[in-house]
Amino acid sequence: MKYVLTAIIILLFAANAFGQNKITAFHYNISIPDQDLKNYISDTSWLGVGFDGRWFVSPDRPITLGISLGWQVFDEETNETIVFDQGAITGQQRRYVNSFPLMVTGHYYFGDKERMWVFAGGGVGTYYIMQRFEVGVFAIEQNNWHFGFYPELGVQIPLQRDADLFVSGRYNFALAAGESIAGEAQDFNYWGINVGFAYNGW
Amino acid sequence: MKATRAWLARSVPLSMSMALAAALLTLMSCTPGSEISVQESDVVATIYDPNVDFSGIDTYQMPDTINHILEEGVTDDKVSRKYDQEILDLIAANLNARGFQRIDEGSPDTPDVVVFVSATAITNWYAYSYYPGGYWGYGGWGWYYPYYPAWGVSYAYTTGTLIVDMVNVNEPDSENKTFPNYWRGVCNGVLDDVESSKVRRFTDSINQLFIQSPYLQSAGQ
Repeated sequence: MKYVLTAIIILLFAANAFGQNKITAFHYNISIPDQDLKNYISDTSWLGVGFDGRWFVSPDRPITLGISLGWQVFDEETNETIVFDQGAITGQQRRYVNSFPLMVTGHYYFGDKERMWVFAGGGVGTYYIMQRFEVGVFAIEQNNWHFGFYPELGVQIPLQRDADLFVSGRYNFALAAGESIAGEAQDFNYWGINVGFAYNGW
Repeated sequence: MKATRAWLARSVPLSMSMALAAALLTLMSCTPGSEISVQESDVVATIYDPNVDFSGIDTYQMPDTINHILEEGVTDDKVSRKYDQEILDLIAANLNARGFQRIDEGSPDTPDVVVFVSATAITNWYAYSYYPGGYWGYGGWGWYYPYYPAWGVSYAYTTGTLIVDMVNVNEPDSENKTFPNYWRGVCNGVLDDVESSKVRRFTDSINQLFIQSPYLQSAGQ
């Protein structure tokens, strides 16, 4: 965990070293689980943070390449009985998923930069998924790297010189890999709503 | 929209945005924890042989004592026998409610199955120490030890496990020298609790064994 935060902090300062044609964004993330992840944890995650660094490929083309980092925490408590093929188990359960996306991104910007700058694109890379299941005093955990990608659509609305309101929506595809706590591989897909601030040329 | 943007522009200068970023990172430290209460430690698990037709089982026998399992060389039985009879009575009541008929020990009739009840306990110990690092003195030489001492933390808790087995002693597996076990129920939880809570907890756990075993039903009812 501390390595992810360290990477984020380093990138905050490194972003400054890459000239003026760049965008740096910090955002608070809300995520809604889907598919296999929803079967494990159905509650919406209100605990997420992200960083995006984007660089324009040239001054006269509204296309950026960049990176995206994030951390999203899903958790749920339940005491429902889990029924399996030859039995069942009941107890106070705590289910956790920590998702750390590390992405290379590409976006196309269009619209009026002075009023509302719209961007569309996405990222491809990897999600580090930490999955933990606790029942009573027992716990099992599985951590895996998942290849993944996300499409994204969002807007930047100017607030003051070089500072914009940043709002975007993503669908994160963290594809099945390794073994989940249930034994078989599962995907960890989720919707993401990101709200924060973007700094142009910073 | 313009008024909102103007308000945001006045209210959120760059420095506050950096503070927001720092706050978000700090917020992430408030991730959900894993503390549980003694009552939340209870787990009930059941497993059964899906090839067994429980409706064809009519009678059972059950010893009037609980077998306390101790580790080899251990003489300290952490599990109290205070509630043995209550536990056995509760298990019998649940079986009877499901149509199974109890045959007393010593009866000439042969039961279809025998229900064995066992108990065991394990004490888990945890110990760790904090050794705060030293620091370089200002304007001076060398490595200084901090003014506060290192400290250690240790704690222990005992978990108890109740095991209920439904065994067919009429069809021994001579090759493996075992009897087929048709159904096993396990209740586990932390033992360090007040007496009134213990009674409620083992009552709920034993009842849950049968609630989550709907197939455990004799045709005799």
